Amino acid sequence: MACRGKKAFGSNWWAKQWLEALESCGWDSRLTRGRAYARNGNVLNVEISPGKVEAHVQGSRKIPYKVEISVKTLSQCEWEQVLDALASKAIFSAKLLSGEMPDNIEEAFSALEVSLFPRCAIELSAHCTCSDWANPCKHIAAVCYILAQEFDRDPFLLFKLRGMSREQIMEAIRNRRTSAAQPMAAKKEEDLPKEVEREYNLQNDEVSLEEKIDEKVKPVGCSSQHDHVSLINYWTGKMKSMDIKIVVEPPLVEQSILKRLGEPPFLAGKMDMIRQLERDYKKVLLKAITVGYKD
Amino acid sequence: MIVFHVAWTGRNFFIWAEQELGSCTQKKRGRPPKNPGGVPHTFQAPVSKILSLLSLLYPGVDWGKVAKEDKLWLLLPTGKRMPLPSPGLSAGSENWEYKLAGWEITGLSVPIPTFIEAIVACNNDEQYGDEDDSGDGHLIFGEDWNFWVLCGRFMLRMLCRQKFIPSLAPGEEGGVVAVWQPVFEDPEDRGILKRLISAMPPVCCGVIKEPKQDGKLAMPYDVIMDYLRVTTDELIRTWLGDVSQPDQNAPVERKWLYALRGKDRCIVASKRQIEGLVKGLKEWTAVLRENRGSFRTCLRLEEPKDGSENWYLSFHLQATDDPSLLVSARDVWQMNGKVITLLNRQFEHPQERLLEDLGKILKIYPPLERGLMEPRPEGMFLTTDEAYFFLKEISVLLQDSGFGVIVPSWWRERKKRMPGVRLKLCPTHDHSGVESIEKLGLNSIVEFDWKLSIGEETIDYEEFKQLAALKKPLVCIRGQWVELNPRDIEAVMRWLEKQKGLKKVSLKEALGMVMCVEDEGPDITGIDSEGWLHTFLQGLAGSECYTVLDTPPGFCGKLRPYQIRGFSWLVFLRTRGFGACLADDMGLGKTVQLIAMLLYERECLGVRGPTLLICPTSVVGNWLREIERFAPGLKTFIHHGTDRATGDEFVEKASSHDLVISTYNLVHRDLDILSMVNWEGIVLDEAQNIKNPSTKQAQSVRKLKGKYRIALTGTPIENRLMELWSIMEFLNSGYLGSRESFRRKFVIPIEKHGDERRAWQLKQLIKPFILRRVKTDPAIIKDLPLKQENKVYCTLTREQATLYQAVLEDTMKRIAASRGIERRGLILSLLTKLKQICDHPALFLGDNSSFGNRSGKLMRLVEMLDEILSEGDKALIFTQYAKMGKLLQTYLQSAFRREVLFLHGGVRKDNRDRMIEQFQTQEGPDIFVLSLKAGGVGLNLTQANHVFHFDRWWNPAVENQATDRAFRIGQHKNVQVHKYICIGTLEEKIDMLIEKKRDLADKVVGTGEAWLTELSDDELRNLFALESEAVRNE
Repeated sequence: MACRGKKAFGSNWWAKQWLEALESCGWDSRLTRGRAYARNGNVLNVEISPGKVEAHVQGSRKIPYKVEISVKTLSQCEWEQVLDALASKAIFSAKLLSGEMPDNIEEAFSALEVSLFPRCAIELSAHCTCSDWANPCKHIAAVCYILAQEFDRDPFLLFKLRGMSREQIMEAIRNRRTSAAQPMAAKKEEDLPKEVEREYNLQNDEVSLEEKIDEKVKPVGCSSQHDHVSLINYWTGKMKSMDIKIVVEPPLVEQSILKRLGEPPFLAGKMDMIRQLERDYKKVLLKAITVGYKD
Repeated sequence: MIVFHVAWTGRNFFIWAEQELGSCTQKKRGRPPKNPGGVPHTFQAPVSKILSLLSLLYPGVDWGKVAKEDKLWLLLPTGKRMPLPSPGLSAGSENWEYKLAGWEITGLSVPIPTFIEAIVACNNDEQYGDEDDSGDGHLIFGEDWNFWVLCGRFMLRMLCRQKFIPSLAPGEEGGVVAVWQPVFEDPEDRGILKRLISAMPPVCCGVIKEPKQDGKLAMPYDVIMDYLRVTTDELIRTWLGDVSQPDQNAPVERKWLYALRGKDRCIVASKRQIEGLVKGLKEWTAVLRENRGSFRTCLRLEEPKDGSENWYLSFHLQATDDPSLLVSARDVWQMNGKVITLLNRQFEHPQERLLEDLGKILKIYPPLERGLMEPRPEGMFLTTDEAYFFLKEISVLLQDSGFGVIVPSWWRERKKRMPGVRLKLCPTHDHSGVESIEKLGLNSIVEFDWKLSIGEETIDYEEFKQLAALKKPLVCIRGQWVELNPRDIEAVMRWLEKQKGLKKVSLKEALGMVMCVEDEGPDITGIDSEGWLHTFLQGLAGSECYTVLDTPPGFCGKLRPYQIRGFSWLVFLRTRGFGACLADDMGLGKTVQLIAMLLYERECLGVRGPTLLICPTSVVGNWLREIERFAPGLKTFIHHGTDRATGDEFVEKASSHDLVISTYNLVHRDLDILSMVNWEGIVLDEAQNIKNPSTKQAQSVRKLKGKYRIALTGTPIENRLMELWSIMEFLNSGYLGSRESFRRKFVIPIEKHGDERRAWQLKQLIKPFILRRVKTDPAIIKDLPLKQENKVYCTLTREQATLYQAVLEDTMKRIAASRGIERRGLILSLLTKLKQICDHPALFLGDNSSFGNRSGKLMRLVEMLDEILSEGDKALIFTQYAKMGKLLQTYLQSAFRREVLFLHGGVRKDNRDRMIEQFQTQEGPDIFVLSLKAGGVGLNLTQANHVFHFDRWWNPAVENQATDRAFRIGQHKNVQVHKYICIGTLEEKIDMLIEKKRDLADKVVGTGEAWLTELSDDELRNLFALESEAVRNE
């Protein structure tokens, strides 16, 4: 399991917050030791379940070390309060479901005297099979970094670690929303569905983005098009009968794609590069208009 | 003759050309090669010739420097060890019998940017060499050329609308490269792409990598996608140009940005860095790859109802396939299930889906946050400024992202509600009397005044000033929301200041203002008028306010109701001095409407002077016959022939007639003579003949002087803008401005950029002067018979007439000297020979020399087919001579550059079935030639609504049987039957005989043509003799 490079750990605020929370639990100085490990792909796998993180980390020994981090789950009563808060504003669900941690979520929590992020050492403990006496050892630290990255990808994992899965949360909020007032029963750990961790082995990733875009275009049965072509049609096709007109026009809104995709996450904070991309789009538009509107 | 082609090689464009075999520079040496694979093509144009033509066509590019001589292997239809010429080059060969083989082509490699910037961008509507009168212009662009130019325009469209993203792709030599990729997210773009794929000429897929005899055609989809990917990347990176190279230790993102420009697209970085970038890119662009399923989130903006500024933006779910199916957020919040079913559609997780989408929209439209602060939000209020921003920008972004957006309907129409001015026109109350003013037509002086307006509403200047002072982008004027932008307001104000004091102008100037003569001027949104001007200008609104007249007494026959309206309209415009264009569909009777008008002006308006009618040579005979039939009292003569009258003799002759018919060919030559007469009116038939305004014909026609001008045409001129200009310039000179300004103001915006407002403006402008009824119009259909038979009278060419005369004289001598069976045989063979000559000299002579202008029938057929095809109609052509059918097929294929089917007795059943199936599909071939014997029975060809009988069988039963191929169950359109008859020949005389004597007709039905053999020498001589009017004289 590898990381996305130097900046990759916790590029979103909630993942950063996670690391900061750990530091405030007194792990600060020792945490940095794991960074290189995480970056070099020494963390082999991570499994997050309510209250617990299990991971294997390749150390200097042949057999990988097993790391376990325990985080205190919230009590049923606490969860009720959290869910009430989450259900009070649609924006929390909207942001979570679209893959973002609502930036004011910590407020919602703190008003209830509950925290999403572990607040003190009591809420957090870790164990590693290595012989290092230091806790956290660099293996545990590496797992913490990988966790930050995981939370980046899916903010619901943070909730899961605190005791509730995405499905449970959404269902509970939905129940509150539809005001059916069904009491939410916090299920026991063993009942929680094992969320299948998504594989993201980079080697198997397609470099190209084209495929999916193509699928929308490809006409069905286009392979049989060359059958029975008469001599004249070989040269003319259906150009005359189809009489295609193509209008060249400027966009209704400039840089629509850039505006919709937002800043590329991998260029986060690199304003000069983002500006350059914007300038490139602009330049192409101007050039295309000059060429298309020639005469 | 030279035919230009272009091929896409995968890296660049490859231009080559065919030329006629005769002018070929490459002489074949020795025996033809046994194996044609990889052998040089045998009739290519030399590279030097291509270069010089390119420099001529597309100046401004140093073609010798940019284009490199190169070779390419291309799969081409191959006959006897020779590639078969493309249809543009010559009348070709067997339709079904060919195989594909690889040929080595020598041509020019042209870089992508050069092709797009020099050729695609300059490809204007004036095709070189397409006009028959452009002299040396025997240059034709193959459809493959047109196809790639079209693809080039598609590319420009994509780039212009910024439908591309930066990305990564595997490099050809390993590693990764930075690329720009096209994004086909817009349904319209996907539609164009699909149409391009199905229109693509297969030759575009025929490029093969190596010289070999056989190869497979590539898939059209693969070729186009390859083209789009490569050109998108190449064009963008070329346009962006090189930047300074980042150093080796620069972050991978910077290296990527660098590799997106200029020549070097490789990225050198560690594997881990690349992987990170790949993942980042995937995440970033994930939205573009999303599949939204059966429903989506939709935002609806409603305008304030209560006069306040509270716009309401409400949240909904919307069925993707049925945008009218909306579920409001309020309802969604009450659905506590994982799946809901509505009208047979399943919505999964409706609440979560709505919330997730709102979360995504939030990233595009942050102010939405305000609306999401409650547990069950249903919408939010927007201020007018916010609403404007939403309408102008956000709604587009959301739609591009696949969300539904519903905005008030006026927003789409807002361009029509921009501030403008209305013109108020009154006829001047001059003491010289109304009559004389009316006759001045466009030169009549009218009084006018300006009113400020928004859409249809006229508003007070002061009120407008107050609105403008608000500086709001959207204002509500008398209950209607209007987009006001400062530029428009300023334009209106400035222009109104300038107009002060100008009170009287000519009608032409006044109407010219409607088309916004000054570019910086405001839009003129309408005209209010009084008196006869009102009647005339009502044409602008499309209603028919002219008086419907009675059919003139001298008219023999009955006009259909719409024809009465048509001739009344012609009278209305001509009496007011306006030029009129009658542009009814073929078959609706433009000829009789004009004849009725000519009679009316003579019988009821006291007109005495002659009117000049200019038409193509091919329809002179038809005019003659129609006038004889419907208006025998109309004194007519034809001005043509080598012995035609000149000078005073002509003037005298003309003034003693009502109508003088002459041809386009003569107009230029005889302009001096024709100009000596004071014409009552000038009429152009088949006015599309002057479509190219710069030809001598068009210029000469415009110089002729008459009190009125009328143009008749059956082609939809409103879609052919330069043609429209040329005809309008003849009718009402100056009305549409100069050719150049018309091109700039209308042709380019409408044809190239789809400017709907300009198209609408132009339509308003020409409406008073053009009357066009289509045969599919329900109001017309009820007046039309389901099957309409017309006789089309054609003239013979000089060659045909000479042949006819020679054969006739020779054979008649032999007939006179023979008896019995021999005599009968000679008579029947003479009949066949003469009929063949009437069809085409080549049919009789069996020669294969040039074909196009040797037969009057053929020339008329091409003209009529041109009209039919431009309407999107299909036609059957029957002939009794299989060889004529073959000649027609070959000729029409090259003339119209599209497939023509030919069914004759020798066609195998499977081929025959395939032809019928092809023809019966909407997009199949449009012309079907059938030999009367093979095609007479048992076929169902209801896609055709025109049936031509190229020659006559003299047996109505046989002809009707053939006609019924199209006119039978399953036919939804009216069918027009065109029976071709050569005027002054045996064809016409036998036809008249049959028409006159029904009993003879009955006899004929039983016996075919055998009755002829019973006639005496004198009777035969009379029947077969060639009358002087048969010949066309050029």
